[in-house]
Amino acid sequence: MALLDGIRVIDISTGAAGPFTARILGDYGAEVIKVEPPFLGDICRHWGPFPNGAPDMEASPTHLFVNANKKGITLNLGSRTGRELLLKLVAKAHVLVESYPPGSLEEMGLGPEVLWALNPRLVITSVTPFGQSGPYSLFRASHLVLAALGGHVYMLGEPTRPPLHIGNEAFYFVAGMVGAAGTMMALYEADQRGAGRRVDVSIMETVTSCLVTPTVIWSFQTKLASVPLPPVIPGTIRSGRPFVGEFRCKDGYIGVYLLTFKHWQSMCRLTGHEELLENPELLALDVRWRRRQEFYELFAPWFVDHTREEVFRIGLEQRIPMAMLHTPEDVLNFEPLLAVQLFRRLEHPRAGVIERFPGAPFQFLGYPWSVRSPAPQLGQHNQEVLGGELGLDSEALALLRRGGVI
Amino acid sequence: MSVEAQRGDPRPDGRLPLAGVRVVDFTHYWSGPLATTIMGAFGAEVIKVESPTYLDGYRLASRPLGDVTGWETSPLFNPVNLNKLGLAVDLKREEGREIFLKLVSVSDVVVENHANHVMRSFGLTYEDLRAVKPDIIMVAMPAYPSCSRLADYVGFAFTFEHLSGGSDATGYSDDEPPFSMGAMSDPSLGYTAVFATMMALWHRNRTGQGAFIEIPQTQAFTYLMGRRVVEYQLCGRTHGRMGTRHPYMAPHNVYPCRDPDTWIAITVADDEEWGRLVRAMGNPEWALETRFATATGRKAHEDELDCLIGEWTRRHSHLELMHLLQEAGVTAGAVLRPQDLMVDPHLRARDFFVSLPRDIVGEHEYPWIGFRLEGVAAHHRKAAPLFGQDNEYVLRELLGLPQEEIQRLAREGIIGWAPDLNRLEQ
Repeated sequence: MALLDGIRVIDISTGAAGPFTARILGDYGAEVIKVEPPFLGDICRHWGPFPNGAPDMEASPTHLFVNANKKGITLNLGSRTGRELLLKLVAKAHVLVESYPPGSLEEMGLGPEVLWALNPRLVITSVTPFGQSGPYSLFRASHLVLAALGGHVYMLGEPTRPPLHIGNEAFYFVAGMVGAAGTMMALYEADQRGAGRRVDVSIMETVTSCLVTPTVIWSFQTKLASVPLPPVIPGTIRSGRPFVGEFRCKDGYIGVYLLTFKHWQSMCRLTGHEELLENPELLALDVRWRRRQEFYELFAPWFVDHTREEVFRIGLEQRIPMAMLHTPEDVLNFEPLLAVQLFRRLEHPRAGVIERFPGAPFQFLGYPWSVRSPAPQLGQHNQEVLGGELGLDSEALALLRRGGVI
Repeated sequence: MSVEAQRGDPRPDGRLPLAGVRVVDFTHYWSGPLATTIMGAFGAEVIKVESPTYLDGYRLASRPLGDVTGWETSPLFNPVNLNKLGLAVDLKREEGREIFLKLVSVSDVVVENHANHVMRSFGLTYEDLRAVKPDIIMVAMPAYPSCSRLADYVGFAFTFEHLSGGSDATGYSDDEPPFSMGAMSDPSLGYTAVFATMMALWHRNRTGQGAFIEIPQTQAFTYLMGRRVVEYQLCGRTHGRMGTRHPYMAPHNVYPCRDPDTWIAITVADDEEWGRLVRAMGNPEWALETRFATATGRKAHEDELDCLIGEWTRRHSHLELMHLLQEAGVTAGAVLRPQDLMVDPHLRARDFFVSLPRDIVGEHEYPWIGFRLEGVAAHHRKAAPLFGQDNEYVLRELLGLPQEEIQRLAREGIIGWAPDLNRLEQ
């Protein structure tokens, strides 16, 4: 039995963040029905790269990743019939995930009040770039723009060079998890209160919340001159690489981060620089931090004689925070991930076999998670959901198809 | 009549979703503490447990520690321990362990983020907790899965970012080393723990059963970054490190603005948007050249394109330019600095920051999180507890210990109101 058995999620969101919220719920057993516009489908179906370089809306990696464990139907929500069918689905659902610009649902006649009149306990999770209110709420957004406005871009990178953009559009997926957290909280509350809520997820605010420290450091620095302050903390402000950085080994890179004095001590001993431990000045983190480039160069030669794996092992034993900079291939072969069976084999009729498809973030004792189905092909479950569930006969379905509703 | 009243809300106004839930917070650094900060903001009573001989590592980011208040001033510790009470008890002493178990017996959730062997060494495994509270929810956040060969080792934000392959995608170019992702995996994992805890509370509410959840942080963050390994397997490659550029879009970059170290991010998705950008720039001659008319052309001449756009952006402030471009229908956003964020009109309009006073450090504004529940007046309610600040409340009022007993525990160093710097194990 799955944990979220019996929970039904209708996912009308697009892109990466909203659909990922719905997928997370699907990983733990919720039945997720993804509703896409006919013909073009979700925009993420058009995001590359594609296998063999040939655009294929059934083989987009983003689509396959964020829409696994879902059924898929098409509905044109611009048409009255499409909206009526959606309302029928929503009436029997527990969660609606959406990502329309604020106000659009209401304009389409699908606003929260309409939905709650049909289904008072419905949780409506809105995952949008800037949230439901505020002067930027209708701004155009991209991942770079959100990371910039959220404050993360300024923090990342070398101080003497332009700021840097985090890779892999990472905040879309974090916002997906934020949406899942808010949705579960609203479901928990709905059971007690008998009424659903709207969950307002802002990707920009998700970004800002992931750098909680700089704003507070800034506040402490401007208001508290008398309080002794730490140096800017490694990696959280654009002041170069974290203390002490990424070192080149025989076969790739390893990152080494000396967060505490103990880490520093171990590192000095490991690389044969005990003399540094005799300098009382270096007891202070901010002094070590200021001289980090010097130490980086001092430690670097030791690494080139070792493999990443050797260094990583030594780091684990001596409790120095270190980690290999994994390439995708390395990730797929990393023992702890294999031991916990994070990756599952997934077969997709168009994209082929993915031997190691990432499954779920954690284990809930007694309720195993599962990768039950690959991302649906466009309209794959129209017959099952609209025919079976909503009882439309084949004539009615054919009519909808001709009318461009599905 | 309010919407809530119309819909027959049976709960009194202002009752938060997690009111009545008690959380024992045995976490440190950022991931776990953020999770419990969020639970506290939504109404849970959160009790943070530290030891006189072992502080939350984030406190050590202050200096000097020997100062009477050094362990209270860390700007890392303060913002991620809001909405909590503070208890300082030494779990390595049998009596300390008994206090912990007593507290568990009157609590709903325990969250911890240590290596797998730590709770075992304290004799505080899920089995031990369940023996005193059969429906307890325990959320463990070790670095590695308990079934792996690395089970008993520790990890930090940067290490999860590297091991997940996320850092591999972050950096100026493929010719240079990757960058860490700036420690954002920690808060991401905090959100994951909130999701897990809420699922367990929801489940307990329906079944009466407790739960044990293991969130290996390496696993959870690799899952969040999972698109990249899907890309790799399907296409045999992934997009490399490309600074602030994009594999297909151009322009897609940060451009220098008028004041030193101010920048604007501009991203153009298609030719129509490019046309709008050209108009916004005042139709300069260079921008009308045919080589920039298509995405392929712009991508092929990207270095030159970025230089020319940069010459234009340099004449404006990053904030003015954002509004000018957004009004023209161009996707653009100022690269906000911490000082910009603190006064940002959007965040202000959404009450993102809240000001909270605290002894020793004074009043500061603390940022909210990534989601809200509409109609729920939740925000941070209380600044971080001072070390051991709520020892008496927890021991006397929650656990019913007599005053003499509390004094004895203090004398014997089992509880404390200040770290025992001579016995500190860090």
